[in-house]
Amino acid sequence: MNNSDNENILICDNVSKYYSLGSSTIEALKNVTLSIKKAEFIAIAGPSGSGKSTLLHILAGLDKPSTGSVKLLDYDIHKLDDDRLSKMRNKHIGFIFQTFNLIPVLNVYENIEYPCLIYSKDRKNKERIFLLLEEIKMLDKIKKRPNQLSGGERQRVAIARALINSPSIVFADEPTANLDHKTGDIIMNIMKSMNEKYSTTFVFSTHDPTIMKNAERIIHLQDGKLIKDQS
Amino acid sequence: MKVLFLKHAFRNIFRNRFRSISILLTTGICSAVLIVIGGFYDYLFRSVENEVIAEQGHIKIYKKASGESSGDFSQEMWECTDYDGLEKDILNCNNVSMVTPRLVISGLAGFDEKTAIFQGDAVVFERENMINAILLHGKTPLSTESETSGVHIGKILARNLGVGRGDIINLLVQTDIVKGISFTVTDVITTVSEELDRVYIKMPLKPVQTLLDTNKLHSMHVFLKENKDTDAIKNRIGEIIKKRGLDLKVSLYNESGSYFEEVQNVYMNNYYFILMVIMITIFFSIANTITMAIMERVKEMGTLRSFGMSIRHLIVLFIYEGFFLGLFGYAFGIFIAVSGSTIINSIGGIYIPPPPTEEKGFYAIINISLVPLFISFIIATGVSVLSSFISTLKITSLTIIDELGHI
Ligand SMILES: Nc1ncnc2c1ncn2[C@@H]1O[C@H](COP(=O)(O)OP(=O)(O)OP(=O)(O)O)[C@@H](O)[C@H]1O
Ligand SMILES: [Mg+2]
Repeated sequence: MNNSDNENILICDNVSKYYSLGSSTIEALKNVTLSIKKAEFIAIAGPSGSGKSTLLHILAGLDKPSTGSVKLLDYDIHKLDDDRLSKMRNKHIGFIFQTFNLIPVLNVYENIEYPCLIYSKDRKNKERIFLLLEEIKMLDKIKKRPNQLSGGERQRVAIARALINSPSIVFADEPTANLDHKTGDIIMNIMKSMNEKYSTTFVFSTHDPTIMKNAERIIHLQDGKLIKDQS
Repeated sequence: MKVLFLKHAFRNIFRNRFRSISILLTTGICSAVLIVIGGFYDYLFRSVENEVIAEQGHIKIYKKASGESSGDFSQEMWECTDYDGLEKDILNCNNVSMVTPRLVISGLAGFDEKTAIFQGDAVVFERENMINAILLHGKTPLSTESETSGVHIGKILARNLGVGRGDIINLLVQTDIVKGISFTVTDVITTVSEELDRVYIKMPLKPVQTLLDTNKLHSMHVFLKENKDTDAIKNRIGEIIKKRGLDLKVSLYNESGSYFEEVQNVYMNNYYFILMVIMITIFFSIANTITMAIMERVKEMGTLRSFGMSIRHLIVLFIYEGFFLGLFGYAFGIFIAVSGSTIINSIGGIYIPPPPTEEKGFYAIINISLVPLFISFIIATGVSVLSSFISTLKITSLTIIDELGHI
């Protein structure tokens, strides 16, 4: 192992994903190998069906690869059992969805707080929650339920929720696809500022060239293959 | 962690209000049925208990019939040299109010040309004039002499024989030879059951013993002032009897195998049946609710897992939801039961029509008591938890991606 390997917080080694539909097999990912360093801000680009979501899910430990392995912070995450992998997701991984996925029965504050309380009882997270609320400019809406918020506001809450446990890496699957351009820019700016302030690694997928421009590194996928990795 | 899930589960109840209200009604009515029927049976038990005690006393002293086939409660005649002493010893025990001897006798009763089979007790009238009987004519004596030498006769038997107050009936009793005796009818009585009214004659002990040329008894009945310390008193009487060298059995009115216990078992079997029906109802209602909730929230489960909840946590979350539904249903059930039984009791109870062997129905009151309250709490919450646990097992096979992809 050389020195540059040590900086990698995530190593995706020869990952493939097959879906079998009846007799035919769809190869959603083919032998994808890549590594990600701390504090990188990475876009995954590619046409629809190229495997962006599949890759993000596998890297975030939400889906299992058919072959290959993913190492996050030296854990081979797909070898962990449900309890350990869940804890790993809670402590070290954040995930932001295209459709926001907030819990409708909980208010803004409670949605952000949720991940902190799953594995610990202490409510000392208040300070951090308010810090994040300030960063996403939602301090005036902490008591609002998700259905009382706009799409952009919801996604801001989702970002805060993904960041609350100070994860090493945050994945976002087309976080701006359901938002207008202006709101999308705001979301990207928040992500970028979090990346700079806390050195949190971000990996997001997008079709949108203007969104892509925010990234320092763009990984291009096509038909499940990594065709270009540009920094 | 628990508080978080409790809060989330609690809020989830309000997501589908119609469904939650209907499950609340179901578990509420089920709990109320258990509480009310429990309270109703409690009242019936107590009535039967009081009846049995009023007839037989709290404690019975008798000689178990010899012979292998005879059960614990079959009896044969016995005697002792000093009845008065025995009675006095027993009366000296704490809480004892009366001791009274009985001899069971049966045979043929005749009046005019008519005869009928009779069954009866020979008793000390002064002590148990009112026991086991409602007197038709009451306390106004015919004459002092005939009051203690006369008999009380069941009203159907009296009608069948055509006897009335003041008539003289002839009784034939078979021991080793057939013997006859005549008594004045001093009153016509209603006993506890129609069956008994058809055959019953209560007669004075002394003349019957003289007729049979014996001073033997079948039983002595001990009546207590208060229904408490029964076991201690029973043991004390056992010692007294042993000391006197008598080989007699002492049994409590509610001993296993006793009439009272049999009646109680019949009610309890009914109650278990109802309990089962209610458990099944609650089980399937909750299972249905939780299954629907799971189906509606598949995507949310994927989200929860994406930020760190394990399958185990999800199961706990749904179990809490089932628990709340059961608990609130139970609380609602208490409300229904208490208000329902208050209304029923305030109008004098529920009329219970007479069973086939009896003449008069009666009004039953509902005694809401702790035991059915507790049972129904355990059933409502326990079955709900079990049912939601079983319903959640299917989520163990779902992957996060399946869940997130769900619309
Ligand atoms: N559950 C599945 N079953 C079968 N095929 C699947 C499944 N999920 C994804 N695929 C296939 O895998 C390939 C990659 O899909 P994926 O969703 O990763 O693409 P994507 O790049 O995210 O597309 P989009 O930009 O439209 O979101 C597609 O061909 C898709 O049809
Ligand atoms: Mg996609």
